[in-house]
Amino acid sequence: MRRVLSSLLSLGLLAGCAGKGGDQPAKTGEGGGAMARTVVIHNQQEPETLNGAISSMMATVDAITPIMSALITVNDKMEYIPDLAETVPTLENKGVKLEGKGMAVTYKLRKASWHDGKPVTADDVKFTWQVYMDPAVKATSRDGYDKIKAVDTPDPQTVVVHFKEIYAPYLGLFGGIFPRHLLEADLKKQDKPGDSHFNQSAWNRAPVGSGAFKFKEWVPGDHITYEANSAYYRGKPKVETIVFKIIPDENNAYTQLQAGAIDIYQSAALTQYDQLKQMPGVVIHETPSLSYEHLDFNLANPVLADVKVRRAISMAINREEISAKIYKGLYKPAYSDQSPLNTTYYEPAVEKVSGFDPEGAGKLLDEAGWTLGADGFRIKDGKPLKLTIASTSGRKPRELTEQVIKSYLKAVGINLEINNVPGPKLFGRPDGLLYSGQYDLGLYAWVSNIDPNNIFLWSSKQHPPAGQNYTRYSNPEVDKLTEAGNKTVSTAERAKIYKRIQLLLAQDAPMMPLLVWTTLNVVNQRIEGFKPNPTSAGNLWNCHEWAIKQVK
Amino acid sequence: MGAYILRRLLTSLPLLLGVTLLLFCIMHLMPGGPLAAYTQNPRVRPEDLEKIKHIMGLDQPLYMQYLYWLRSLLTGNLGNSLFTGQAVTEMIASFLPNTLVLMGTSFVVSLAIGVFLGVMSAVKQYTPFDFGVTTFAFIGYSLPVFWFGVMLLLLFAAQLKWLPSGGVHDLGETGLLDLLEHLVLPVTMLSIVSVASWSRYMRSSMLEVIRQEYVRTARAKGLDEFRVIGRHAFRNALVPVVTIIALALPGIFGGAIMTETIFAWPGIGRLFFDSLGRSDYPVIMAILTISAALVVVSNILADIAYAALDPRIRYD
Repeated sequence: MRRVLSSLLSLGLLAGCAGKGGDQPAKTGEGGGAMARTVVIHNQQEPETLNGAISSMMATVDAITPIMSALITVNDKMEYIPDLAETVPTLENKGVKLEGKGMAVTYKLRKASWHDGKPVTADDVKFTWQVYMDPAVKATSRDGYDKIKAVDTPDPQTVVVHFKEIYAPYLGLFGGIFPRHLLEADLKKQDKPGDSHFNQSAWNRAPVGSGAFKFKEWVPGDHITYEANSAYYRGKPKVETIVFKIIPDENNAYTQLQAGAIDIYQSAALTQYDQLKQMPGVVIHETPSLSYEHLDFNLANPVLADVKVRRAISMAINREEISAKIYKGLYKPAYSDQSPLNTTYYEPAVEKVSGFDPEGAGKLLDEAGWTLGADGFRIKDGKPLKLTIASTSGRKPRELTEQVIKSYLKAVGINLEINNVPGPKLFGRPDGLLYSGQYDLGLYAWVSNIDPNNIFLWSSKQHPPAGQNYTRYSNPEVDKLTEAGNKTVSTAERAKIYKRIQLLLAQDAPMMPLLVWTTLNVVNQRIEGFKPNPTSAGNLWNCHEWAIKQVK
Repeated sequence: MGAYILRRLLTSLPLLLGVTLLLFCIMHLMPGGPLAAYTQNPRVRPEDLEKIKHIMGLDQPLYMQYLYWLRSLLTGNLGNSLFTGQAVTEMIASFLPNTLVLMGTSFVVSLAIGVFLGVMSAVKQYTPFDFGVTTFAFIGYSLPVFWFGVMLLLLFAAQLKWLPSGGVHDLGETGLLDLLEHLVLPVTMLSIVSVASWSRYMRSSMLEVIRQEYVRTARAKGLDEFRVIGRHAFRNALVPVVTIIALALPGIFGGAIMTETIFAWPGIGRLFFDSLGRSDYPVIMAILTISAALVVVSNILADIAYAALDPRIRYD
C-alpha cells in the first residue's frame, strides 16, 4: 500500500523523469494497528550493552530505564522517589540509623517480580552489591558500594545496608537491581583469570529485569524493542511497545520526526531549533540540563594562582551575551557548580559575587600589579599577560565562545591564545592537557548531580593523579567541608555545607561557570505524559505513565 | 593456473602478517584509547580504572597484546569486543549482510550504468551526449555526500514522503519490497558518485581501443557496428577497467561510513566508525585485517580476470 511508487522512482531518478506525487505514508499514530500503541524513541548512539554496571555510555542509562528497577529513583523535579523500595529511607523516617562510625539503611521492598515470573527479593539487592564489589566485574565505578560493610536480608522484603562510615550520597546507590537466579553462575565463572563471564553474559544483550517493560529484541545498529510488562508492580503500562531507534545523524532524526517515523527526538541539535519550532504536530520541551559549560583556571600557573586575576577574568566575560549570540538564548548563565534546578542545595547568592563588570576587572588587574602597556596588553615585571585557552576542537559553539572570550579579555588587557585539541588529547589520562596540567584556561562541560557531592572536583587530595581536581585548587576550608558533606546525612545540615562551598568557590574563582545547557526534546503531540528528567534517571523515568492519544 | 593461485595465496600470508603488525602499531598511536570513554565520568576513580584496564587486558605489554590478538586470529574467533563483550565475529556477522546488500546493489547498479555511459560517450565522442555525460560525471563526482544525502532525505522522505527516511526496514516489516524502498535513497547516493567515476574510466579506456588497427580491420571486414563495439573494442577496453573494479571489491565489505550514517543504515562502516570512536581494538583490527585480506584476494582475482579476457596473458 505504502510508497508504491518507490521502485519506479529509483528508475525515474536515474532516467531523469519525474514521478507523480505519491500517497502519504501512514504516520505512526494513524490508522490503528500495532504502531498506534508504540512509542518510537530516537537514540543517537547505540548502547554498547544493556548492563548498567559495566557500561561507559549515557545511551545505556536511557535504554535500560524501562526494563530495570532501582530501589530509589529521581523524578523530574529532582526529588528522590521510591521505586522498588516502598519509601525513601531518611533519618527523619528512621530508615537511616547511625551505628558506631557508620550507618544502617533499611529498605522495605514492594511485591515485585522479574520478567520471568520469579519474585524480586532482598537477596537480589545483596547480589547487586556483590556484583559491584567483585574485582572481576568491569564495573564502571564502585564509588559508594565500597563503603558498604554488609547487606543483611532479615526477610525477603527487607534489606538492611550497613555502611562502614557515614555515606551521605547513599540514595544514589542501587540504581538497577540484578537478578541473582539468572546472573550468579555467570558472575562466578571466569573466562580468563580476573575476567568474570558477567562482563560477557548473554543477559547483557537480552536482560530480564523487573521494570515496566520487558526486553523483546535488539537488532544491532538498528533498534531495540521492549513490550509492556503486564505484571508490573505499578500496573500494566498504557503504551504497548517502546522502540529505541538508533539514528546517528541528526538530519536523519529530524526527517524521521517530520515523517512520523519517530515520536521522540531526544537532545535535538540546537542548530535545528528554528526549524523545529515551525514543525507542525510536535511539542518542543526545553529542559535545563545538569551539564554546564565552564572555564577552568589552572592554579599551578603562577599568573592564575593570583585570585585577583581569576576574578578579573570572570568579571570580564559577559555570560548573557554568549548565551544570546551563540546559544540562541537557550543555554542560560551559570554561576555555580550545583544546578539551579537542585533547589535544596543551590545557593542563589553566588549570582551576585562576580557578575559582568569589565571596569572592576581592570581595577583588580591593576591591584594585582598588571599594568597596561602601550600595545593595550598588560605587563608585570616585564612579562606580558598572555594566556592560552584549550578546548575540544570541532565543536562550533565552543570555538565561537573562545573567540568571544578572547575579545572580552583583550578589552581588559589580557592576551588570550586559542589552542584546541581533539577530545582525547584534552581529557585523556595520563597525557591529556587537563590531567597533566598543561593548560591555562580550559573550556569544557561538567555534569552536576542530584547529590551535591563535589569532593572529586575541589578537594586538595583530589589533584591528579588521585582525582579530577584539574584546577589544582586547594582551600583547607573547602577540603573540610567537602569531607563533612559526605558524612552528613541530614539534608538540612548538608545544604548549609554545600551552600557555603559555593560561596567560597565564587570568591576564590578556581573555575568560572559559564552556561547551563538546555536539552531540546521534541515529542510528537500524540504522546501524553512525557516529562523530561535531567537527572541520570533520564527521560524515560516515567514511561509507565505514558499514553498515546488516538489521532483520527 | 591452480598452482599459480596457490602460490600467490601462500606468498601473501607474510604480507598480511606484516600488515596486521603495522595496523596494530598505528592503532595504538591513536590518542585516547579504550579507557578514554571512562575518564570524563567523575565517578570513575583511578582504582576503578585500573581494574577495567586489567580486565580489558590493556595492562599487558604491547607485544603480548599483539600475540594474544594473533592467537585469537588463528583460532578464528577474532577475540571479544572490549565494550559489548560480544565475539567480534558475531558482531561482524550481524552488520555484514546489511552492508553487502547496500554496497553490492550500488556496485552492480553503478557499474552497469557507468560502463554503459562510458562506452556510449566514447563511441559518440564530442557529441552533445558525450558532453552531457562528462558534465554529469564531474558534478556527480564532486557532490559532497553529507550534503547531497541530506537533500535526498529532505526531498523524498520529509517533503514528498515517497520513500522511508532511514534504516533497512520499517519497524515490524521484513519484506523484500520494504527493503527495496529503503535501498533507493542510499543506493542512489552511492551510485551517483561511482557512476561518475566508472563512466570516466570506461570512456578513456574505450577511446584508446577504438583507435586500434584491429578495430579498423573489424570494420573493414564489414562487421556491423554493434559487433565491432561490443565484441572487438569493448572486451579489450575492459582489461584496465577490471583492475579498478577488482580493487573496488574490498570496499563492498568495508561499507560506506558517511552514507550509512546519514541513512541510519546499520552496516560495517558504522560498526567500524563506532569502534574507532571508542578504540575498540579487537573490532578495529578484525575489520581492517579482513579488508587487507580482501585487497590481496581481489588482486589475485584481477590477475585471473586478465587471463580470461586476454588470451595472450598466461600464468604458468
